[in-house]
Amino acid sequence: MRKFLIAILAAFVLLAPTTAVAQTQPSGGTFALPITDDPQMWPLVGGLFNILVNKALYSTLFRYDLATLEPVGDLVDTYEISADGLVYTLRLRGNVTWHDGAPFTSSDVIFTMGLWRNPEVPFFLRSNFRLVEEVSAPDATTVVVRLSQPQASFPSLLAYLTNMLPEHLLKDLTPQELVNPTTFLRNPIGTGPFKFAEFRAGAFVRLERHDAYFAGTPHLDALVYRVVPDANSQLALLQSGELDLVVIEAFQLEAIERNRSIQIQSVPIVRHEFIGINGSLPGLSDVAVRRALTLALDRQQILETVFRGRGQVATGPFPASMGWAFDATIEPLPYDPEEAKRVLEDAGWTLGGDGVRQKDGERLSFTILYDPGNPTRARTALIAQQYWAEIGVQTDFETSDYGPIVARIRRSPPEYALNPNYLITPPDPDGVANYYLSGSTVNSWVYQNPEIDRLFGVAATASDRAARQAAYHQIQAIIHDEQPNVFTVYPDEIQALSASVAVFPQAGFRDALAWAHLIQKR
Amino acid sequence: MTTYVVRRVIESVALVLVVTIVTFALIHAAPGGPSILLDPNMSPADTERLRAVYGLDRPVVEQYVRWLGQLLRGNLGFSLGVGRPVSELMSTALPATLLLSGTALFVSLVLAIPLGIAAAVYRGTWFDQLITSISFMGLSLPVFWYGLILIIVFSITLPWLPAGGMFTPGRESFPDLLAHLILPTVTLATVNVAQLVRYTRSAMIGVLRQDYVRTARAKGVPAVRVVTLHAFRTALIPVVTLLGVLIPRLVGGAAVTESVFSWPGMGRLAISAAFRQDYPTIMGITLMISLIVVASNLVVDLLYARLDPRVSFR
Repeated sequence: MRKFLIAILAAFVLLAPTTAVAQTQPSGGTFALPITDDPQMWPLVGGLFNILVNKALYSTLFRYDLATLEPVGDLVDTYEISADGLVYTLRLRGNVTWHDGAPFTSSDVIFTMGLWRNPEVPFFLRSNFRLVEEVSAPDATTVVVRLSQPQASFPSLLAYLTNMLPEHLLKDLTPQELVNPTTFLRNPIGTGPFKFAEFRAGAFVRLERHDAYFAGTPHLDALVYRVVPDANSQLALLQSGELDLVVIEAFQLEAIERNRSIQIQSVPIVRHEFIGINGSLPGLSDVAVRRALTLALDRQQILETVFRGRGQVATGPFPASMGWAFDATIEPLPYDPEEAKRVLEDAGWTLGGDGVRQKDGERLSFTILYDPGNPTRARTALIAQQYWAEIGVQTDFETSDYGPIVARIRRSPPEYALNPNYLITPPDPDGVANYYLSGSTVNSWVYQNPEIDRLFGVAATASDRAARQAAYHQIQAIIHDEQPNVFTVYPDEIQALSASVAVFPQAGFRDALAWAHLIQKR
Repeated sequence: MTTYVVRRVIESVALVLVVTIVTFALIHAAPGGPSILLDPNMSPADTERLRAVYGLDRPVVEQYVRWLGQLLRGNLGFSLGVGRPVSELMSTALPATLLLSGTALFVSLVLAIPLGIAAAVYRGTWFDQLITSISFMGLSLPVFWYGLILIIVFSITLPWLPAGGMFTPGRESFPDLLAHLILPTVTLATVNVAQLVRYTRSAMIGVLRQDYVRTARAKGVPAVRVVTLHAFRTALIPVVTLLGVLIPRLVGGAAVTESVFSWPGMGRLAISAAFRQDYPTIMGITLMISLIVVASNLVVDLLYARLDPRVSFR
């Protein structure tokens, strides 16, 4: 017993210094969130663990309004569009400095857009700027961008992960060096609300408040991104108060929703969940079969069980969070297995002796490819299998890691039949176009419809909001008819926040972090 | 002795080379490919450009020869996805792992060897049974579960210790490091102690039965001297064998423990490199671990000669 007491005492002595430090915490506080891998902090490459850091470290020309997701000025103060929709005149804020004190000017914009357009430098969002023809700067705070054809989503795309880079630090690098500018990345310089302070490989990146931030001094003292790949460990660190935000999936809610040190915030984001269909396969190329697959699946039940009711049933690839572009008048196909059977009968798919429908020797028997590591997609696959069996569509499973799955569904032709998946897209519906345009490399469903191609073209170039809206509504109607994929749910993003967080903007955390100066701790 | 060592070193280098060839072939055969090439937004032209920049468009054999050529110039290459030199990633992960595993191994040895000897000496008593059953439990604990339980108890329910990481970002200090070290050390040491206790105990039991021990006792050598001097040295042989297995693990990092406690060490580096199919990092880690495995096997074999009079090298 005495030894036990000594051990306890020893533990207290050991812990005393940490406790003392915690009490002298500065008023602004530190906000910590997890990332899954070491960030490169280089905006020309993707990956969520990079993007989340870049959001607070760098700025973009535009960012998304947190309520409407419409693009509003970030580094841009005001802008004008020429009557023909081809020329954007961007007037930059005059009071912006890089973290090293150098002024931010139009030549930084010219330099960064030059990188986006330089085919020698790999850039993951290049296709968003394929219409940029010429960029010029009449003076230090004005940039004129000429497009080869009107692109109504241009400001929205300029808000999407396209951070401005400092010309004065990068201009002498070769394209080869710009793939990975190691010296610059040891001390990256941006114009965002937080500046780089410290990186520890495998452990964390710490950003400190940029006092000269142009949109107001950030509340926090520091923003910390901790490298924690394991989801259970993330939740443990949240509960022990070492993390302030963990974005969780619905199945994790149960573990923490009764914990009083955690507040849950659900926000709609531009994300849709679906079961991808390889439309080039016999059977799945038949619209009747695809409609039947949707009719036979109780998507309300998927919403309730897999997503714990946080979200809404989907009607297509444009989530309701897209606002003006979303057509709320389209009713989701009902759960109606009898109707599904009728649709299949009418199309000539009749039940065989083995309980599986067939037509001209083709059986409705497919493999669902999914990654078992993600319970959301795994449970969707299991539920779909049961429902589809009831209408005579037989499915079996193949599992694999997510990376190889993405590689397989992106091959041409894609190597899969059915695959539960999700997409997070820019809030402008033009960002979805690529996934449904005939022959596009990311159209993994091999969906082809000349009318869809035409309407996406119309909507992309129309400068008038009403004309764009009409075209997108038509697209949604056609997609609803043809069901290129089984669209399941528009899930909310579920943010588990530490009780010590006073303000975290009510938006998806990707967008909220572009406004990181607003985050407040208690 | 020298010829033996030289021969063993040459054999070891050849073995390591084979290991790198097999690993290189395996990781390139794995489906998917590096995650940096899988960004759904990236155009095929940009993917190809990136592939070319990293030399991934060359035939696998050529890629291997290039890798080996770079290696001979002391260059482990560039990580795919993190954008830092592999040597830099490893040189920050290795000290973290050595600290954690070293502490855990030290704690394990200090606890396990006396306990193992005592269990052997008092064989069949309640003490022996207690030690044996506890070490059985230790061996059968799933580490990821046990680690999480420790976190729930000591970081969440009783908020005494940090739940993960090596430092509190921005407030690094020695006491802070110690606080972060406790739970992962306990997790790792529990398993090691369990293994080592069982080895030490059974080795000691075997040795205590031998004739020379009986002779020593008959000569009137005090019991403590018999156990510590006569018997223990011989009993160390199997324990040293086990150490030969534990030491490479020390460097390779305890992948599961490091993951559960977000410890920025080699094991976790290996896992994330494998997930993003970061070929150069996987190769760097494999190379280092296989070098250490062959080296520690060599050292263990040489130690036998010192410990076991029946073994000699010619």
